Amino acid sequence: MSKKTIMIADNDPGIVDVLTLMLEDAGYEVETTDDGQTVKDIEEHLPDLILLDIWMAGFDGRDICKYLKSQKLTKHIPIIMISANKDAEEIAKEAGADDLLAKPFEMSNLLTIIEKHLKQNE
Amino acid sequence: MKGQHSKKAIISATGNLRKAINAQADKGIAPLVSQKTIITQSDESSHTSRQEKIIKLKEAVTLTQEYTNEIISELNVINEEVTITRDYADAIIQTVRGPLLVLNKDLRIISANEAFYNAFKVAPNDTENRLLYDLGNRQWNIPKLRILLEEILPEKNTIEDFVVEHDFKDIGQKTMLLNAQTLQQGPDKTSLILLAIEDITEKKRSSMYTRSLIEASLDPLVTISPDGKITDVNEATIKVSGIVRQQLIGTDFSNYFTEPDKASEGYQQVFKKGFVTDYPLTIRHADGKRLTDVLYNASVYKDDKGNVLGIFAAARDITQRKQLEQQKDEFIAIASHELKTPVTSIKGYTQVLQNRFKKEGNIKAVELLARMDGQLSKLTSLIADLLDATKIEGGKLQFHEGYFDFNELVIDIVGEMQQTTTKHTLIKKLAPTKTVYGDRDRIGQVITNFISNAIKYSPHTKKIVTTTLEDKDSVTLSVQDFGVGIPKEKQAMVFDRFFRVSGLKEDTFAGLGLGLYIAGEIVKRHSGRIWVESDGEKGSTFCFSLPIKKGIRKNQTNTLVEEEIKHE
Repeated sequence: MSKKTIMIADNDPGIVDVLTLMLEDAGYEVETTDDGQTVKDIEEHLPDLILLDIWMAGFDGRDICKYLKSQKLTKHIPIIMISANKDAEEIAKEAGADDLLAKPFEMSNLLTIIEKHLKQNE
Repeated sequence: MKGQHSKKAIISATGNLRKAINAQADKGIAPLVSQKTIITQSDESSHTSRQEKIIKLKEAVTLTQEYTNEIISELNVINEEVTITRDYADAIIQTVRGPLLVLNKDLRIISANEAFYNAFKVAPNDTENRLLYDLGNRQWNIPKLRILLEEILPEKNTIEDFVVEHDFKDIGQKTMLLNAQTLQQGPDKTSLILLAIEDITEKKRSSMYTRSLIEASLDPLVTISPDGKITDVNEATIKVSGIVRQQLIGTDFSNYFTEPDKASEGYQQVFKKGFVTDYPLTIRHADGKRLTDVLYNASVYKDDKGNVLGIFAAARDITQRKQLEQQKDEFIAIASHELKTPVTSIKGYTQVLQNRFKKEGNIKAVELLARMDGQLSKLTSLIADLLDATKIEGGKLQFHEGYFDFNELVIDIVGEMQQTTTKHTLIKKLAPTKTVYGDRDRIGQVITNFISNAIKYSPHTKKIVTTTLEDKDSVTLSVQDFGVGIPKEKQAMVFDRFFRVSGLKEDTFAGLGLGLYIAGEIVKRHSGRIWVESDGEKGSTFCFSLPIKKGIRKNQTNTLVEEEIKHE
């Protein structure tokens, strides 16, 4: 069975780097971007799951999320939003995200959530 | 009493005097007539001997002499009476503490009192019988005084509270309050003028001093009558309300606030209690836009008999303070938000390392990293507390409500907290509880706070007991420790922001002083009650109770969006 691919869309290198390490250690293939447009434009090599920062420079995570969830090609991809605050739960739901991960998160918690959504999507 | 007495004496003395004069007249006419008769007789009867004439003349002379003596003695009596009357008038004048003059109708001074001499630095010799205007080198030739005495007084017979200002050469600028009364005195109705001159220079100066103090205040000051009407204002009030003095005075105090009911409740409280401190209100400017947040400090003022005359209220403009506080809260919000990302990152690296070392079997490294992770968790919760506190201040603390099993939550948290301490044994005494409606995480935060405080403030004892109770309407949780305790006088403050319990000399406790403040707010918003029991020595018990089936009070701005702060 091939490795699952997770896309990390966040413009904070500290977060992108540590998430990459965590996910790679857990056996995932990781793609990263700090550009909101790149996330919108994905057509080929669709990831199995997207970790999306709620705020990216120049992009509103909510818009990206709504867009992806409105596209035939991408709407099935689970999107987990990353926020600095738990109170953003409502925003995430509104934007159609599947889940929210609030900073600071525990590695074990992150992996559990990812696994849950990947399983649901199988 | 004494005065009345002497007055009676004088009235009767005056009566006697009149009788004496009449008697004199009766007696006086007869002898004069008889004397004339005697002389005529002496001219006409030549045969009367010279001797007889002499005897008769002698008799007449003696008689005249007697009458003269009698007249003189009566005149003495009159003089005496006059003196008594004068002394009486003088006595009155002298007993009056304010400067007082008695003038005749030509405005000559009949008498003046000591107070007058003292106040206006004139001597009795230079005063009596002088024309008022001529006093002190004609310094009293004051145009306004002339008008008062020569034009107004003759017409009205009285002058009440006329203020006259004059710059005297010797004694300087004086402000005088004049009161005068015309009196008809004696049988011939002689006109007398009683002129009271009060030197109100000092009074005026001190009232100007008071006024300038009031005006110098940047705080809006106002006095309010018992029926809530404004009786006086200072410039600051005029500025903050945008309404001129004349239009403020006599109107309802509560008119000028965004919450008139709260304003009138405020001044009623002052009348009830005698004062209020830091009573928050918002003043509305006449332009309808500008609002000024103020804290009112007010107290009643009384007359010398203790009757309440009104309220003196001072408003402290705290708009700027509020702005600063808001800026500070915003700053803390941004700062703690910005801290979160690197902490998340560090925590992540720690956990990645922990996993890698675990795979390698490096137990020592795993252990060290676990401790590092524990410290990072503390840092995380400090940041979270800061953020929560600013949210409470900004009315943005949010709750996610739902039903949850109360005991299950308690068991979870006690279990978690036991992981953080090897010194303490966490004991559970749980009564069966129903499900509770509220924010599970936030209630959990309160329990965590209670237990971590218990651990922190009982460094030398082992036992910490967590108890749950349930009655008809509520569930209660209490966490009891056996540590330093909280003195009675400080117990009310423990839920205040930034309050920290200071321990014994050897125990200093770290912390931001926010935990219980946040806990208090969370419980309050769940319509619950939070309190502490402690005898101040043998530990303390922190408790909260939550109503069963009652949602969170939506009394704060219920913004769904907690604005995520943009990354640059």
